[in-house]
Amino acid sequence: MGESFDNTFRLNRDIFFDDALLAREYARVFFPTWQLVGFSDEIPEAGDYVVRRLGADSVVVVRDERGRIAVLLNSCGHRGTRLCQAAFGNAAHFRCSYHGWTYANDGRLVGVPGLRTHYPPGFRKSERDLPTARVVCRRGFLFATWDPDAPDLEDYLGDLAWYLDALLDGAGGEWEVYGPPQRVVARGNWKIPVDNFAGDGYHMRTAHQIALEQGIYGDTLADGTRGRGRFDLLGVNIGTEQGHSVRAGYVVEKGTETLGPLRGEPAYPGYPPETWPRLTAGQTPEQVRFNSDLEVVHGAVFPNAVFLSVAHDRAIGEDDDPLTRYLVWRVHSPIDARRTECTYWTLVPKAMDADWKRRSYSYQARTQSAGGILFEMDDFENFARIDSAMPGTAAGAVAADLSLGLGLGEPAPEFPGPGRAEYLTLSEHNQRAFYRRWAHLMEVEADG
Amino acid sequence: MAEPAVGADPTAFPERGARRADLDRVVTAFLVEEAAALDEARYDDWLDLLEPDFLYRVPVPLLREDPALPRHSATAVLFEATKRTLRLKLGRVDLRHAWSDRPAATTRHFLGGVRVFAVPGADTVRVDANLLVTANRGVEHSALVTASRQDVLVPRGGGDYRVRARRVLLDVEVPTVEQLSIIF
Ligand code: FES
Ligand SMILES: [Fe+2]
Repeated sequence: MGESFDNTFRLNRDIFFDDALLAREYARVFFPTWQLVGFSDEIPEAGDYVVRRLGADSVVVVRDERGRIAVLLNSCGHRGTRLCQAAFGNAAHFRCSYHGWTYANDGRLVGVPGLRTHYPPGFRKSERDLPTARVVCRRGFLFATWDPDAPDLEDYLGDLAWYLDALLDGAGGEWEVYGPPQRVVARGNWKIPVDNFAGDGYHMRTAHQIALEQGIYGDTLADGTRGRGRFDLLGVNIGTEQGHSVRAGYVVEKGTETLGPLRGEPAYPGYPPETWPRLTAGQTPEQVRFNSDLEVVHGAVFPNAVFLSVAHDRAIGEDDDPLTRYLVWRVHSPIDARRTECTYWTLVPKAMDADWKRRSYSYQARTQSAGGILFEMDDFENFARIDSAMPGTAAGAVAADLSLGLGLGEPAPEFPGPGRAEYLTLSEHNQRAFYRRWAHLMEVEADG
Repeated sequence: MAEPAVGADPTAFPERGARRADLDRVVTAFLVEEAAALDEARYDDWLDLLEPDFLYRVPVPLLREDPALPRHSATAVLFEATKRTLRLKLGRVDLRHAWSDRPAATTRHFLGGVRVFAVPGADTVRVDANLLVTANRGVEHSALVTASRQDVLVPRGGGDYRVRARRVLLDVEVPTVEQLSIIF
């Protein structure tokens, strides 16, 4: 990969299909980083657990008897048998199905059949607890890492933390996960969807041309480029050194090229207008500026979590349905170099009523869910087309290009959030931030 | 796992009432025609068989330890569609830039074990069936799915029906995108 002086940014394509490279990614990209493994809402009671992936490993994310959350390796210390076979459940103990070693739900080995009679006297149970990952619950988001030397989560998130807080505080601050997550297996390397969510506004007019022509966004501007009437969409890209990113699209008067001071009352498209004053009251002035007139926002938490918040209206609902927003979080876990498991959680603000929550979830399910035949399918179709065309001898030798907008973005000094924010509605700024971080961790030479 | 607390749920699916074996043959004949409309890509014919308030849902499969607990979520769905959203989806096939529908996959619905039940307090019937669907397109896109499919049918007289609701309980815990792209 590399940036050269002839206005190009390229990547070797083998990073999207080489299994040997995936093994290096597990060690260098997934091991030292924090990854989203779920939400505290999913495990409200003592003993509640969900089974997730953390890098190359299956883990049990569990609330122990004292109410603390632990992330345990889902593999028995005796011969390695998988402990939890179900995707979720409740258990005080995990008893291995092979020889019966039994672990408390905080990972302590508490039972070894034949310990006193058939094991040597120096054999210590206490030295054989399940390996546990570090886990932090940040506003209900559970992030975990295997690396004891990883920086604290807040340092790891860096400038992104401000944006995550602004996103949550923009709708009352308290959120809940709507039901168990959607999961699907997609063709294509895990980095392809992450790259897409990190900042790809460019694909909207082609990949989603049909959805836009069919009007699934109704009267919104979420298509990214085609302004309606006197309005336009202005994109702000924030790509951080840690590889995280945010792409925020604002409704502005046609021809506006920077976000000026807020005109009139703050507006939060997709939330009921009668709640707007209350939503404003729950935010700092900078957060209000960030969230007001925000039509669409998406981004990535390095390495493999992404988010999207956008609104739909009656085009996919009923005739009298108001513009309604959803917030979805996704994690992309490699199965191998060319297949990815996608896990989706839709979050809804606790402040909204039950009908609003249900409509928000329905809109996500109809368009952007794993089976979202109106929108998501065209993304997966493209990811599969990349996967089938890239690994050839000739095809694999061509570089992937990420030069869009290189050097063209205008800095956005008056933008309320931290980090290097730049104006450019269509740019691969954020994807470059992702791949720069990735290349740094992989110790790949930047050779242009 | 927490399922959200919601009020009267418009997506709730009716329980089975009394078994109506007397209707099995006529309902099977209707469903075979309905599936043929999908497989033969006669989408307008198919949409005409749906009630205006038709709701289609594919609940999230739940792999749990205890076999006595439900195997599918009551609230979370992999996909949901109304008649309007299905019309958008099926209308895509005629549009040039519908990337995931051009070329179109060939689907084939195999329906078995059709059993009709009364719906308590309503003149609709609930139909439970085993479904196997294949979808094929090109060299790499090949899917086979099995599911329990549950329908609510509104009788129109003379052996004719309209579909009011359809719930697809997939057997696979984590389906592929190709499997999920099928209209069951
Ligand atoms: S492998 Fe788990 S007890 Fe032997
Ligand atoms: Fe997309």
